Amino acid sequence: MAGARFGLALERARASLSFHERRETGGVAERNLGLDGNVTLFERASVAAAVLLAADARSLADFRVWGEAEPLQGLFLVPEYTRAEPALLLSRQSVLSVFATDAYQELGGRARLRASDQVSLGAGGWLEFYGGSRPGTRFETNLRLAVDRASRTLVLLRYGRTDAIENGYHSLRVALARRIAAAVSGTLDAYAYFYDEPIQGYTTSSVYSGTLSYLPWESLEVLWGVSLARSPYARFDAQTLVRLSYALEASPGKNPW
Amino acid sequence: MVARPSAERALTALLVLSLALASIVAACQRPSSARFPHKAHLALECDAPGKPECLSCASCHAARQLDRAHQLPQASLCESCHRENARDVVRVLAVEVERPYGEIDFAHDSHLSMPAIGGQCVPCHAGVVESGRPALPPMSQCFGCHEHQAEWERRECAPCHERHDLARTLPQTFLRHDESFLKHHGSTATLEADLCATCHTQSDCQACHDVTQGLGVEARRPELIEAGFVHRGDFIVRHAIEARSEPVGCMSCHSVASCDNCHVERGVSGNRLGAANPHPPGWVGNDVDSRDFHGRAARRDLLSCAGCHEQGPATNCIRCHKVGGFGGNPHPGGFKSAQSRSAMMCRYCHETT
Repeated sequence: MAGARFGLALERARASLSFHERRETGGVAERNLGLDGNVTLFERASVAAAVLLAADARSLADFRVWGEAEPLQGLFLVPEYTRAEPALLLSRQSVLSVFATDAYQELGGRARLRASDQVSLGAGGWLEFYGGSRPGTRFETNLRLAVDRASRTLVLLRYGRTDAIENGYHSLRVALARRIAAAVSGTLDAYAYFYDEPIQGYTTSSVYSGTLSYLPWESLEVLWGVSLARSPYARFDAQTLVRLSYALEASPGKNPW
Repeated sequence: MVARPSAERALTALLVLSLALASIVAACQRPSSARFPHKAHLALECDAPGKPECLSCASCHAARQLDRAHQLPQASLCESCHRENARDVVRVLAVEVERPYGEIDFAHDSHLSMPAIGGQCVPCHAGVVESGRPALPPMSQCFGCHEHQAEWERRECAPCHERHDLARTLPQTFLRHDESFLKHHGSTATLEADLCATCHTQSDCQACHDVTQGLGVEARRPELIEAGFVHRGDFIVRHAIEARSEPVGCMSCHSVASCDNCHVERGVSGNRLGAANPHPPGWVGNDVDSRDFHGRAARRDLLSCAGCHEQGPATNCIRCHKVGGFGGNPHPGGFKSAQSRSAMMCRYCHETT
């Protein structure tokens, strides 16, 4: 595979053009042309798009456009649209790409309301259109509570629904992170999934996990994690992890704020 | 939970909802450490405003040039009144002050002397009296006067922020990593790598994108509960549903070959000897209207087919879907191709001489 990417960044806009060619032994080369960019329309609104053109088929393999806006203080909206031809993302030597021409489209968006520094509510919904069947849907809503900065307590609650036509599921998630002492932090995470159609005879799966981390000094961290799961693929699954990490250079990522 | 179902489903839901309730209760509990009652102190009666016995912000928080923020009084100042409960005073003063933005190198003196501020603390620290909590102004308020264009173009956050603080400070206003940022951060990282580098190091990219690791990032970093990892929870069970729901999402990182590699490894692929047929009844046959007929599935989710059946001219599609084959003529009515007959795709069936 070989490729190149050229970018241009202006004050309120930026764009990139890329080209990739992939050759496989005994196959036909695949050439893609990519274009992505975004424009800041107003102080609180921008639009972005990314296009992948299958050069040999002269057709759009993947096209996405999305916007970001903050129409009111603390209210964020992200509408998005995707159109793709999955067959064009296959290798061009694949005879399978001849047999599938249906485009896949997705239309939806997400919204988040920061009610305060401590509370934010989010929701998202998407409609997925395939040829020859009713639309699939995805929906999720979540609540984020960051009540106390001193203890870095963070609670996440999430409900999701996915309907992929042949099967679908409801999901629940609860997560909690908290600093227990100056150098000790912990997390708890629980997931539950409820399937519309049984998978290997099971209609529910659940996963519970937790971590404890100890930072004797800023660069060194010892983490112990445990997870328990019941699912269609494992009646009971228990795993544990001990991680010792030393940061040679300063790195963010530990602070949930 | 074997599909005898509703009781098990209800139990699981109840358990998770109980955890949710417990988490909210835990989150809402204030820490035992006391907060300073600013309001009570500022409301102390005195002869008249401006008299020495009348407390103001400056009475306790003497701000001097080059002083850091959060300047706290000496315990002796409190003890001048609190002689009987000096122990409580010491406890209040010992509370670790939050520094969500790290240390800010801020010249209080020069700001307090500005006419617009008039020596008052409240224009910047609004709400500190009412809430009893440190109220720090957002950076956007600083940018109301200070443009710092030159520093911005040099990607320098100093002299206001200290480098080591940036490593644990998340942007709260502009550059905030919110909403769709994670999904589309790749293009930003490509075009403005120097901007990312003001806070992040290469190891932060590697933390997620290191494909040489045997463990997925979700397993390696379980403590990052807020990260938008897509393979969380019981993903192995859900992956077939997810792949059907959002097939292009999988293709962002995975090639179709990776499907079969994993399925062969786990013994659930037709490409492994002795594996069970992964297709449901009605997959092939004359009932083309069957819910499980393969043609419908292939049009809908060809990438799943390609996970196993990506074999060029030897694919079993061609064995049936050829002129004279059981699957009939693959060319739709009025078919006309712009490709040469010598194109590889045509040559799968049409031998040229």
